[in-house]
Amino acid sequence: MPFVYCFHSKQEAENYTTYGTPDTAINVCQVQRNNIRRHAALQSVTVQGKRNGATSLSVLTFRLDKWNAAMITGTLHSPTSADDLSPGPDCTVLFGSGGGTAAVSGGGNSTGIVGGFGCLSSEPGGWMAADGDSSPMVGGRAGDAAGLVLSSSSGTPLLDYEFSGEIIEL
Amino acid sequence: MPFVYAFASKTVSENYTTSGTANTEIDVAFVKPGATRPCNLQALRVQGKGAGLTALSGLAFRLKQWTTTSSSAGTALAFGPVDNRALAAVSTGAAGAGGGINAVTSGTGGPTIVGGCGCGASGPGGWVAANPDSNIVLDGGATKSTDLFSSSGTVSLNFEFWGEIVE
Repeated sequence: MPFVYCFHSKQEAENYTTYGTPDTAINVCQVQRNNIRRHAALQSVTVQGKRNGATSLSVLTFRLDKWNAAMITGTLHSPTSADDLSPGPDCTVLFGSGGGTAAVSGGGNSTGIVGGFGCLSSEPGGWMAADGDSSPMVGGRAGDAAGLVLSSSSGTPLLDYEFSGEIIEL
Repeated sequence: MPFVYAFASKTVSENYTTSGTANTEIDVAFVKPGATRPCNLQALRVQGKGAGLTALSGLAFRLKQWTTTSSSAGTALAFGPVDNRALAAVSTGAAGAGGGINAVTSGTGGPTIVGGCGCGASGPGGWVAANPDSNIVLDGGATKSTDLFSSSGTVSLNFEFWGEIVE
């Protein structure tokens, strides 16, 4: 029976914001493992555009990158178990400190994009793994990413949003 | 064979409303387990009910658990089995009495965020557990609750919600 843990941008800040320059990505958060007790994978991400009173349509784009060395700058939070009988998580999530346009940084480089999705600036969106085999793994084995990084981008600058995700450990 | 029960905000009130202060949460509703079976939240659906709006806005919903004592007060939600041969639910829950911006009385301990979703001011949204292991679980007899919080940047947006629990 795998353990499922949730992380949410509200753990760090009310709103995150896309970059002030159009079509410029910000690395918003990183899912990373802290020990080798269990394999871990990302199974879903949910996003919500939080633009208010807009009179035109805009879109936010999100991407998931594999990272070859975990980033170190940001604020760490522990994800919360969906089952209150579960043990504590092996993974932690690094968020851009204070929200807004704050980013995570200080690690290696992207070794490939493993997913993407989007939402309208005032609407929901997200991604869910089609099955257990489709969840990108985090750390622990040769070829696994040291971290999975979520980045945001938009053609209209400075769009607010929040996000949550689910990590599965087994 | 688990038992699945549905609940709806309409059983308490036609509309719920986000706070009159921007980006301010309201503890709208909760579900909690009975003594004999766990309470597993497996789905939440939300619908923005803005009518005749001429501007776009979004509503955010967060699922949080109070981990020491459960929330209380409000008006009881009705839990209807999706299979009419099922036993009556032992889980209970409530939503803010009279709808609108009314809230339940929040529990204590934590809260810990266990999920989230959103919708447009006139659009649908929600969350469904990816698999049974991803249900948001509270064990039978636990003095805890899983609560729904609403928030929006534009004040006073109407919405309604539905959910499913598994025992």
